[in-house]
Amino acid sequence: MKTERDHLFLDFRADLHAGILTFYKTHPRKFALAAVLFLSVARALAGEKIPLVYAVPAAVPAALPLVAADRGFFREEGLDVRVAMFSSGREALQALLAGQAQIQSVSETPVVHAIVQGNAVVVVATVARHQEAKLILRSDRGILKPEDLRGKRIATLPGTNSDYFMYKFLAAHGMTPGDLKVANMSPPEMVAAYADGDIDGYFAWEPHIQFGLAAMPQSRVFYPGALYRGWMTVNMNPAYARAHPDTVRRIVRALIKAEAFIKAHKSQSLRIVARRLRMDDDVLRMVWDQNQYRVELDASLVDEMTEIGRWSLKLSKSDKPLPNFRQFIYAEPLRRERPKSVSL
Amino acid sequence: MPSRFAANDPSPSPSESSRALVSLGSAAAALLVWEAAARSGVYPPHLFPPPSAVLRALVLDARSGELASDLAASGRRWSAGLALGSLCGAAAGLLTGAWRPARLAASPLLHFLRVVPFMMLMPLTLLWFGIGEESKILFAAWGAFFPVWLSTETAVFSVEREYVWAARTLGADGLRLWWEVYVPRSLPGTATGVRLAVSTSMFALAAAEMVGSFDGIAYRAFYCYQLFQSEKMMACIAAVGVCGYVADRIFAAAVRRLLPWQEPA
Repeated sequence: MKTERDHLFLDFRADLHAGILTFYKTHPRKFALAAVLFLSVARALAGEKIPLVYAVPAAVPAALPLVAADRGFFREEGLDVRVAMFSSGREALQALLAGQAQIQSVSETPVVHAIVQGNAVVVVATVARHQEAKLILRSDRGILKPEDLRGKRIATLPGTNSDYFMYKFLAAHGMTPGDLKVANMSPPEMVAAYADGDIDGYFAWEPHIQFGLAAMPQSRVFYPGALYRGWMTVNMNPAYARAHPDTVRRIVRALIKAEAFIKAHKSQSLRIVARRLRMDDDVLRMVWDQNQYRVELDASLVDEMTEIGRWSLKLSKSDKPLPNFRQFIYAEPLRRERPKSVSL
Repeated sequence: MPSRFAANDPSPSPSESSRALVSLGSAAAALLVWEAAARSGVYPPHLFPPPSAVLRALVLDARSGELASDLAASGRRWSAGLALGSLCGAAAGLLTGAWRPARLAASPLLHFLRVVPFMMLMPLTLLWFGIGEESKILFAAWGAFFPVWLSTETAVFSVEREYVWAARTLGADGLRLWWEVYVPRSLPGTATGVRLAVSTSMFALAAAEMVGSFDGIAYRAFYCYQLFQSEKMMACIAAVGVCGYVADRIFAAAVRRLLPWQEPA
C-alpha cells in the first residue's frame, strides 16, 4: 500500500518529467547544452577515469608498468588501467594490433617486425634497457665454446629479441642458423626440453635462463655483452595516440612516478613485480639489476631498430623498403613531461 | 514445391561437369568476395591479406623450395601417424564392438581421452616423448585413433545378427568369425572413420609442429605468425587445405574402388 510520502514522490517525479519535456520542446538548443553540462559535471563529480587496457608481457623489464598499476599511479593520473598479462611480448603486441589493448609493452624486436610488415604501431617511450636475452648451453655435453654449437639442437622463439640475439651471436662467431638444428619453442617448453636432454641449449630471456640453470647446474650461460642491448618499449596505436595526446602524457607521468618509486623503494618494488609475475623472490633478485628502469627515448633506439629492421627484411626475404623508424616514435608527450629524457 | 534434389526426384542428376562447374563457381565467388573485402580497407591489408597476395606468397615459397620441404616433412609424419592411429583404432573398435568385456573395460577410458583437446596434451607429450619425430607421429596417430575406433565400434554394433548366426551355424567361430563376418561388415564404417581421421590427424599434427619443431608446414605457419608475415602464414594454411582436400578425394576414390558395395559416408 502506498503511503502519503510515496504519492508526494510520484507527483514530484511526474512534474520533473513534464518540466524536462517542456524545456526540450521549447528550447531544444539550450536543452542540449544543459544536458552536456550536466553530464560533464556528473562525470567529474563521480571521478570517472579513462578506461584503458595495458597489455604487458610476463617479463622483468616490464617492471615500471606493473609498479605503476600496483601503486595506483595510473589512477592518480585519471586513468583506469586494466593490466592484461601475456606469456610473451609478441602476444601482448598482437592484443594492441587487434585493438584489444590501447597500450602495450614489448622488447623492440617484435615492434620492428610489426612495422616492417606494415602494422600501425608507435613507440611513446621505453621503460627499461635490458640485456635479458641470453644463451644457455649444456656444458656436460662438451659444448664449452660458441664453435661447439655446430650441428647441435638449439631452441628459440622466432621473432623475439632472443631470436635476434641468436642471429647476432652466431654471426659474431662465423655461423648462421643453418649450421645448427633450430627448433621453435616457447621459453617454458625450452626449460622442460633442456632438462630432458631434448635440446642442447636455448636462446631466451629471464627468468627462463635461471630456470634452466636451476634444472641443469652443469650449464654455461652466454651474456649478450656488446652484441645486443634491448629496450622494453611502450607502444600504442598511432591514430589513438595522436588523437589523445593528453592520455599519452598521463601514461608517461604515471610511468615516471613508477620510475621514482623503484629507485626509492627497491625491495618493495621487487615484491610487487614478484607477485605480479608469480616469480620467486630470489630468482627475481638475481636478474633485477641486469635492467635499467627508466622512462626515456634515446637516439640509439632508432639505430638499433634500423639494424633489426635490416635483419627482419632479410629474414622475410622481402623486397620492401627499410622503414624510417624515427617516424614510428611519438616523442612529443615525453618531451613535454621530461625533456631531458628524450635525445632523439 | 518438391525439392529438385529429393531422393525420388525423377529429373536427371547433374552431370560430373556441371557439378564441377558449380563447385568451381562457388570457390571463385568466395575468392572474389574475399579479395573485395580485403581491398575495401575495412581491415588492414597486412592483417587480412587478399587472396592475390596469398597466392604470390605461395608462389614465392614454392620457388624457394621451402614449401616443398615443409610439406614433405609434414606429409611423412601425417601418413605415418594416420596409418598407425587407423590400425590401432580399427583393432580397438573391433575389440570393443564385438567383445563385451573389452567394451566395459576400455570404453569409459577411451571416451574420457577422446574429449581432451590436443593442445592441452602438447606439454605432456613434450615431457614424455621429447621433441623428436616420434612425438609428432604419435600425436598424429592420437588424432587418427578416436574417429576410427568410434566408427569401427559403431559399425560392429550394427553387424546384422543373422550374419553372425549363419556363420556360427556353418561352423565359424573365434577368429574366423571375426575375420569372415565382423571385419568385412564393419569395413565401410572403418573407412568412414579413416576419412574423418585424414583431417583430425592433421589437426593433431599441426598442434605438435607448432611446438618444438625444426620443420613442417604448421611450424612454418607459426614462424610466419611470429614475424607478422600474414600472407605467408595464410599461404601455409591454403597449402594445408589443398593437400587435405586432395588426400580426402584420393581416399574417397580408393574406398569406392576397394569397397564397391558401400560408399563412404
